[in-house]
Amino acid sequence: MRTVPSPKPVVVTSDSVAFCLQLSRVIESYNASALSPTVSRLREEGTDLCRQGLVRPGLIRLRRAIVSLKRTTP
Amino acid sequence: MSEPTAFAPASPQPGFLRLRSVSLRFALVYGTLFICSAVLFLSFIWWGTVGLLEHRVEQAITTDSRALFNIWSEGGPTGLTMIIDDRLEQDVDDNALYLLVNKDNKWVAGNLAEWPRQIISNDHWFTMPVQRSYAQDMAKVRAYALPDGYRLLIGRDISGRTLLRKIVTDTLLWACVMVTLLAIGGGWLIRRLFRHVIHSISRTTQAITHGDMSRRMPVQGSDDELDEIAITINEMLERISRLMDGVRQVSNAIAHDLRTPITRARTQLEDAALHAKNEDELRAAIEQAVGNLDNVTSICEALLRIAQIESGARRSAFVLFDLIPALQDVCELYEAVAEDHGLRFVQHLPDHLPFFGDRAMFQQAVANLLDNAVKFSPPHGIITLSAEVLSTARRSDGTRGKMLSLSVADEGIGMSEADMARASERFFRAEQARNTPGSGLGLSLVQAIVQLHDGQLQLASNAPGLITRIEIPLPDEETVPAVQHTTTNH
Ligand SMILES: Nc1ncnc2c1ncn2[C@@H]1O[C@H](COP(=O)(O)OP(=O)(O)OP(=O)(O)O)[C@@H](O)[C@H]1O
Ligand SMILES: [Mg+2]
Repeated sequence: MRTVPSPKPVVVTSDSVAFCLQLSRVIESYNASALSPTVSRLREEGTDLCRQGLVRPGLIRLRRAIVSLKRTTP
Repeated sequence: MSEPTAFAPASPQPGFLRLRSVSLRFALVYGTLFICSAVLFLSFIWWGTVGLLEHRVEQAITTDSRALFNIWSEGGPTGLTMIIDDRLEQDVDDNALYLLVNKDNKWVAGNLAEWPRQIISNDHWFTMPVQRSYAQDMAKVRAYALPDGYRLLIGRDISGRTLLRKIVTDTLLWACVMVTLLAIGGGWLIRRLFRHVIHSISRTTQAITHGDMSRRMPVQGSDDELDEIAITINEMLERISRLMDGVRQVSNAIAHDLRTPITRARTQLEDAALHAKNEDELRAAIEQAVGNLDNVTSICEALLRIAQIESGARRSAFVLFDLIPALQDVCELYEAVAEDHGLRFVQHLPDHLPFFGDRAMFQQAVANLLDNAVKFSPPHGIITLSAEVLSTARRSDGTRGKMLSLSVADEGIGMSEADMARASERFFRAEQARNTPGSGLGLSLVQAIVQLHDGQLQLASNAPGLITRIEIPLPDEETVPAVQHTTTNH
């Protein structure tokens, strides 16, 4: 294992509002009427948080929504 | 002028730290052992937590890479891109890092903006910083080469773990400091304890070397090892002083008892030289002197014999024999002597009595007892010799087993209690015995012989007269299969 000191760390692109909205769209792309209340609530909360600039908590909620969607819809 | 300091012998340095001191060495060994085991223990904890965490991350990445390789071989870049997107969408832990680039180093999929410049080789672990929206984190990554010049970077954000690692490491470091303090404290305590013990021993022994033989080690009564040492040392001192007393008394007695016959012989010779009127008188004086000197020789011989027996060297001559014929040989001799003195001699002996020991020496012991009985009995008394086997007697070492009990009883002048206690001392003769011939070595020899056979000599009153009893442990049946009758004639 090597530790390389680097002057310029690489940017993690998933920490962004754009990615947030992308996830939100992914959820939307599922049949909206079939969304369970929990999933829609998570999605709403997540999107709101992202818009307010709290990207990290927002992302966590959106990801949870997607995980539970995947679990219920094959 | 000489320089005394240069040649002065290395005197022990006074004061607190003396490297030659055993107690300090003890403390150092204790401390070292304590620290070593603690460090070993703490490093186990470190590997069990921090090491395990790192290993887990590496394992997760490796497993992930295998899955992604499979996807690639089925669906190529497009399939891999979809899966990577999927993974990022469902990454609830928010720590996954992926990057897929093509042969022109252009971004294809993943959540890293560009290929990190420091990662030049594939299949090695790297730890590198990544810029997140909230802070700069550390990530553990590994690059993999794919066909067509594609390259895949898989990583995990390990900041959470880094924090944990720091906490654990800090805790362990503190633990190390505490352990060191404890080791020093414990070592100091051990050193004090040790010194305390050693000092009390050395104080007593020093007092003794300076001539105070009455000093004894203090016994705490706690029944521990220290008490054991103290008791052993005290017993040793007891025995040494008893031996020293014995030696002193014997040398006094030798000086006295040898002096008397020598002085007498000298006086006789001198007297004869000055006053003898004829050859016969001279001859008679010389004969008397020779008799006195023979007496001296026999005393010396007896003393040497006792010393030789007490040294235990004759134990190698022990054999198994029947005691009865051996006793009868002695009795035959003393029957005649008793008759001469107008005494009756009675014997109570069993038919056989297997015995393990030195035949000639044992006969000598019995002869000495019979000699005393005859010597200290007025006419018409009865002398009884009896021997019997006690089957389950308690021996002196606490075990139970067969014992020989042999006693000689007479009806003579007897002894007072105080004299009995001293009877086996060398040269001891009771007040009433002063006008009988003898040197006071007979019972000492008996005592030495009996002790050589692990036995005991006891004196008791026969009212009137004295009973002398010898008790000697007999060999157990198991240890001696058959009685070998010794056929030595003498
Ligand atoms: N059977 C006995 N009756 C009375 N006193 C005895 C008897 N046996 C021993 N003693 C006393 O014990 C003393 C010590 O006995 P021990 O046999 O050692 O010496 P000893 O008979 O006087 O001299 P040695 O045996 O050397 O010729 C005797 O002097 C005597 O006072
Ligand atoms: Mg005697």
